[in-house]
Amino acid sequence: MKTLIIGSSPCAVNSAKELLESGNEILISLNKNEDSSAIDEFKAAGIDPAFILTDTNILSCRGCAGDFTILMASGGKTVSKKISGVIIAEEYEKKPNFAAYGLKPAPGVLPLSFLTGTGIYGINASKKIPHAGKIAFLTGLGYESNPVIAEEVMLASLKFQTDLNLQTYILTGNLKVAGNGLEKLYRETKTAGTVYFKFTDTSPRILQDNEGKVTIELVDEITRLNFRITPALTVVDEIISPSAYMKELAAVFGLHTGADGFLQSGNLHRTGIYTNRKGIFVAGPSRSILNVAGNITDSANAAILTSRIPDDNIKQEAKAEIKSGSCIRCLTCYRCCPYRAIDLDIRPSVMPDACEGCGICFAECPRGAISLNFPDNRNVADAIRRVSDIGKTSPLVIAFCCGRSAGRAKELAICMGYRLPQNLKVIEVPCSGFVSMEYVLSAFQNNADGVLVLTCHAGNCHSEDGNIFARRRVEQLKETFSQMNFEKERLEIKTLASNMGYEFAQITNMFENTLKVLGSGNLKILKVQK
Amino acid sequence: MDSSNVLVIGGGIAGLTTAHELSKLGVKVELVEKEPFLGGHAIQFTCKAIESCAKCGACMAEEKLNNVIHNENIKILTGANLNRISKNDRFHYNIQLNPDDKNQSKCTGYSSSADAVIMATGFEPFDPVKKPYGYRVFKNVITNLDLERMLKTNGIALKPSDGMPPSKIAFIQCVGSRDSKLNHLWCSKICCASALRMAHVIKSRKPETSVTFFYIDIQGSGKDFEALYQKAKEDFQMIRAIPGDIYKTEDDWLKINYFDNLSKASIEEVYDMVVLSVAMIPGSKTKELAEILGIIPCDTGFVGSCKNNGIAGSGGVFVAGTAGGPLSIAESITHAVKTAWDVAKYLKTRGR
Ligand SMILES: Cc1cc2nc3c(=O)[nH]c(=O)nc-3n(C[C@H](O)[C@H](O)[C@H](O)COP(=O)(O)OP(=O)(O)OC[C@H]3O[C@@H](n4cnc5c(N)ncnc54)[C@H](O)[C@@H]3O)c2cc1C
Ligand code: SF4
Ligand code: SF4
Repeated sequence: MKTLIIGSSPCAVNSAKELLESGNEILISLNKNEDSSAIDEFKAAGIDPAFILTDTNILSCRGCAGDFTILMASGGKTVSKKISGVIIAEEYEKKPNFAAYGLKPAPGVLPLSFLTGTGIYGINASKKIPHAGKIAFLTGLGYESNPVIAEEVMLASLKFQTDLNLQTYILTGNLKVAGNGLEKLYRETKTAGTVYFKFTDTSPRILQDNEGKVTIELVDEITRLNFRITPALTVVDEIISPSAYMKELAAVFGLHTGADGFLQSGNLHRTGIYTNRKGIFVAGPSRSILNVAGNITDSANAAILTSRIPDDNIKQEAKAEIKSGSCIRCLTCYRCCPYRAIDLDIRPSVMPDACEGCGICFAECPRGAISLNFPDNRNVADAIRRVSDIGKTSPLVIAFCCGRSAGRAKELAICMGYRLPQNLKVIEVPCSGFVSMEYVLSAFQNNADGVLVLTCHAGNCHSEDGNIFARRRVEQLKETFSQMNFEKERLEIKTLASNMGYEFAQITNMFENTLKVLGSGNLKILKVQK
Repeated sequence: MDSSNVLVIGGGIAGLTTAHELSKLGVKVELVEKEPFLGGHAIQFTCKAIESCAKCGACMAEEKLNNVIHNENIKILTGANLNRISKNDRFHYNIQLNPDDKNQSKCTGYSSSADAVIMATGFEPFDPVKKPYGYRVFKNVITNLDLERMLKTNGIALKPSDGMPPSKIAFIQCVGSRDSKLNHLWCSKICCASALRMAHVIKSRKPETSVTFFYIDIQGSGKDFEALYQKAKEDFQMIRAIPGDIYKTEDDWLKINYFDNLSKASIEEVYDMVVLSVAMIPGSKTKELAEILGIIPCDTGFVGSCKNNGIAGSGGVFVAGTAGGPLSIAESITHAVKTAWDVAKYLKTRGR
């Protein structure tokens, strides 16, 4: 049981400490950009530098939680390590916002981390900090900032006001006080004399002369009076973004990234420090912009989750299996598996411990070479066949429901007492990505008047893109239906969340009404080309 | 750590999460919830997706709930109140099961003991009756929590007065938050994004609805938020002002009065529904319970990590979730996981 920790952020250091103290084995990997101060951070936390590999890049990661083989380039050599779990806690990058405010760095124009990084009274900082004049902070103008930067700005301004007795101004859009203690800090800065200018329908004019001196002209939106400030020091806030190495790591580990480039997609199923891969966690600055407490929270999350690998309480899910005889090595499965559960050797095979049983590969494999084995022998094909045995009084609706969302929404609808279509037959599937075209056609062949595929909302599929695969198949089938003069309205795909009982009833009832208008339908075709 | 008992007080997102995490470490957990249902506030929320998931986190409550029911390491007591607890090396407590719980015909008591106690008692919504907005006086003045439940049961917003969809809605933010008169010196963190998302849902289902926001600073950050906020600026009227009183007009509309900085004049505008984004405040019994357990609440009234309150598990009492201060659902979850880790470490030091 050994955990690999990547990075030297406070979150990485604390994760290492927590794991060691609780008797777990660790290995720390720092890439070439990290200097000796990174090692000092670990030492200060009581961690033996013997655990640290410096000048190390991760090259590849094979295997699954509890049994990863990680290849790295370390100090010119290639080394291979057996690892049970991975914590990525690389530091993010901060870039001063000079350009956004039309400024150039100058003696009187400094980035925020110059004050916070070296310490506002650090030896370096104190030389550059003026001892008279006004201080202006520019933050969150023309873009939305965040509470971590807001806290740094307010703390710095408070120091200037109280300890150095300098007049400070904070120029901002929305002041982000959504963090612990920040509203209180905001009041403290105001009491100490900081003046805030908040801009909504106007913006300040920021001018800089050839010597770098700054002049700011603005309208105070509360009084509508004009002001002109010539600060001795202008402090510019910073944009936080993922580092280049983080992007490399995303590629090496096959992690989905978010719209902001951090190593977690916005998918709710990754809430906390989870990624799309079991056993690989992304904590602190590699997933989000968090304050000190948030980073500590993340390191505790990382410690508990990696020390518990393999997670023996995970319920037994369905597992995919590739029948070697039929596989033509097209690698469709490798490409579509959201959990990186396909191992590539001479031929692809499924790693059972990494497979989450979504069935996307089953539905996508062009050769039908993959089966999905349920622990309880549940068989969707049988379930479809059984459905047809009932006498018809109203349209027969077969609804393929994702077990995580629509399946739960159905239960909620029943529990809340909503009326559901009389002849609604629900077939629960692990993920809508499992609903192959064959299943849909077989539902029609078994006398369904209409078929519904009910998936999670875009961006909330546990298997990341299962709902997108399902949608693509449905759209393709609808297209084929219209070419065959079969009403394409008999097939629909809709999205639901687990808490949408009302909408479940609404969607199914509306669909039933559509079918009533269309009358009884009959589709007898055997194969549709993929 | 086989048979150690941990008592979790509160079955919201935070209580459910810590209980589940501890159960995975083989710790036996007892979870008491005063209400007859589990899931706390979040289980009452509506999904705010419009085709795409809006990342509100509400559906996490369902998932967490499914983790704890049928878990052999977790004993769940709903409709139950902790009525006595004392510490003598271990905690000894007494629980009263309410008669209205469907399995119980009359009040029954139950005694047990534990090595550690986790306060996961959550927050309470601020009661806006104290504000001049006519809550509980005018039917069409509702809270964000009322709107969550309304959208969850009806899919659209409906005016309580006549059951018809409103045509002009005003959202008032920070009702009871960031309020020095009430000594509520905190931002509740989630109400801005939550209200914006609900407004988008209403507008997408009834595009003719007009929406106005009154706010101090719009909170929220990150890429998803930028998009959400950008769309809000296009679709809604965003007014940076906190309204004074609300009056009712003769034709049953609600008149809002606010000071407009641009024209430097007091402006009156009418709406047919007003949503108050009420604050998350400490539970009314939080202080009492904290004192019984021997911990000192912060000056905000929450029992979170603030200077000099000496919680951090000293003496075996821990806090999870919004009992410690305003948090989102996602933050409540990570906080609760951390608490589980702290508790596990504590149990180890006690040789459990
Ligand atoms: C209107 C509104 C909208 C929101 N929208 C969002 C959103 O969109 N996204 C988001 O992330 N967050 C949102 N939140 C925040 C979210 O509600 C919280 O993050 C979450 O509910 C916190 O969970 P919790 O377990 O800490 O507390 P709670 O949900 O308050 O749960 C605490 C539980 O403890 C029980 N309890 C209390 N005292 C006792 C006792 N003495 N004995 C036994 N049981 C007790 C309570 O009955 C309750 O079930 C919103 C909040 C509000 C008010
Ligand atoms: S079932 Fe899903 S998780 Fe399993 S191998 Fe196939 S695509 Fe991957
Ligand atoms: S996170 Fe919110 S918006 Fe997204 S699916 Fe869940 S409940 Fe709906």
